[in-house]
Amino acid sequence: MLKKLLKYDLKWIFKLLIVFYSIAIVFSILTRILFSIDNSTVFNILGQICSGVTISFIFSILINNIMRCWARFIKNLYGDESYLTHTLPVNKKTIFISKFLTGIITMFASVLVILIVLFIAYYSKENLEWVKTSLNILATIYNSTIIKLLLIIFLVFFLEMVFTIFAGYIGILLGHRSNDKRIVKSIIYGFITYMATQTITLIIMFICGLFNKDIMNLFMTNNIVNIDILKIIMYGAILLYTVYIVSYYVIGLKIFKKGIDVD
Amino acid sequence: MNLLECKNICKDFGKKKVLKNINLIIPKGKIIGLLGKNGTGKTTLIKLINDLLVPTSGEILINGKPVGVESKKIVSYLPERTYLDKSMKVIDVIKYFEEFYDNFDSKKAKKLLKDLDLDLNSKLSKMSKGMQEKVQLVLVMSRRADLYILDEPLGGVDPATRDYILDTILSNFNEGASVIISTHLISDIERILDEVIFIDKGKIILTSDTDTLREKENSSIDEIFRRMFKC
Repeated sequence: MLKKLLKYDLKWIFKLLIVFYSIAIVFSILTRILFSIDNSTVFNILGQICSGVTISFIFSILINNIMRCWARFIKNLYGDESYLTHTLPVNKKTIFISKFLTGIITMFASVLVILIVLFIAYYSKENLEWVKTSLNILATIYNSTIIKLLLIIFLVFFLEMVFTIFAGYIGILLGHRSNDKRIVKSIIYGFITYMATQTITLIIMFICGLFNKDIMNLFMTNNIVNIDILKIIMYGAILLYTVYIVSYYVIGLKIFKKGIDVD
Repeated sequence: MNLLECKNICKDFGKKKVLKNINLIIPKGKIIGLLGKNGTGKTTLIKLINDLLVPTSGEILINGKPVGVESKKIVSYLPERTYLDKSMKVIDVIKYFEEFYDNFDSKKAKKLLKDLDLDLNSKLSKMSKGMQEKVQLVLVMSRRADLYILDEPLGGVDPATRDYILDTILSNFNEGASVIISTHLISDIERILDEVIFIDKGKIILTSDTDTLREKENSSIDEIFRRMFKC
């Protein structure tokens, strides 16, 4: 049943996202073509425009992915369509897992498309050299390879986006426990959930700072931070986001299993 | 064993008590009218039976088991609103029902839709609300369920369509199954009812066999209803 639910959830989200993916890819190709034409002011200007459009579509992909996941969650679990969802012979846990997996899978696809778009639009020998040099410095600091470093950056960004989607889910679940102004309350609860979790992150960092001078410097000074600390923060972020995502899943499932009142 | 049993069901929305201590038993093989004015708790009760709301207190049993996956396999529910994904085509919705309900008869659904001159490749978003409601009715009645729950199936449709809907219900529900029809358009459905349940202000005020009630009151169910619910 999970496979079937997931199929319909993914279909609904991707139906629009694919349009954004396609436009972003088309403009990334145009950017590449226009930038490859030398000694032409007109093509250069057009290239800049296409580059701007590409970047704006990258943001659109992220925003739309998040918003569409939330919209699906509300429509399918509380709106008109919920009358069908909740009367399907499927247990609540499966319905809930489907929504969470949808968030993870679609965001993974979006981040992947964004990487491809960036590669198409901006891959060149000079840019590659610049990236290599920059990443090499970082990679040395991180005692890791460039690929591994890219993976770490990709993972942190991906987890941050999934975390945002899930914070919204928790907000929707809490907001819809009320009998009135459910959307407004969902937004408020979602914002509170997100901010509260980020505050916990800061508190954890502060507590770590009590035992590590360099981390405390992040709070107490605006000096250039010891680069080793960034390494700790990156790995810490991966760990914390994973813990938060799992916690959101457990809390959300607990609320959902208690039963919900549709609109 | 009773098909459906509601024990001391209460439902509050904040301070508002919508259902007050509802006790109800639905046997097998009956067509039952859940009758009451607008806003008396009919839809709330139906939503509770279908796991769309959580009761404040009380228990609902279907075939002796609490509402859950097993009960949803044998209950076919038609809500009072259009609940299908409007971006889907009729054929997609049939596939959807086929995938999720083992007791869904797609051949029957296609035949009924053909009788209605409905194109399987039409998008729901391109159809009128009335047409969408007919599609929903066909889908619901194409399941071989034990209990059909139809919430306001006649609401907002013309008299000719009402007859069509009633005929569809009568000629398509699974033999031995029960049907609960919630409505305030009593004169239209009176002829098909075996039993009636009158609900008012969140309480069941009368449960009776229709023939017995007609004989006892010497009037039609519609007239009895009008008398009882006179403003």
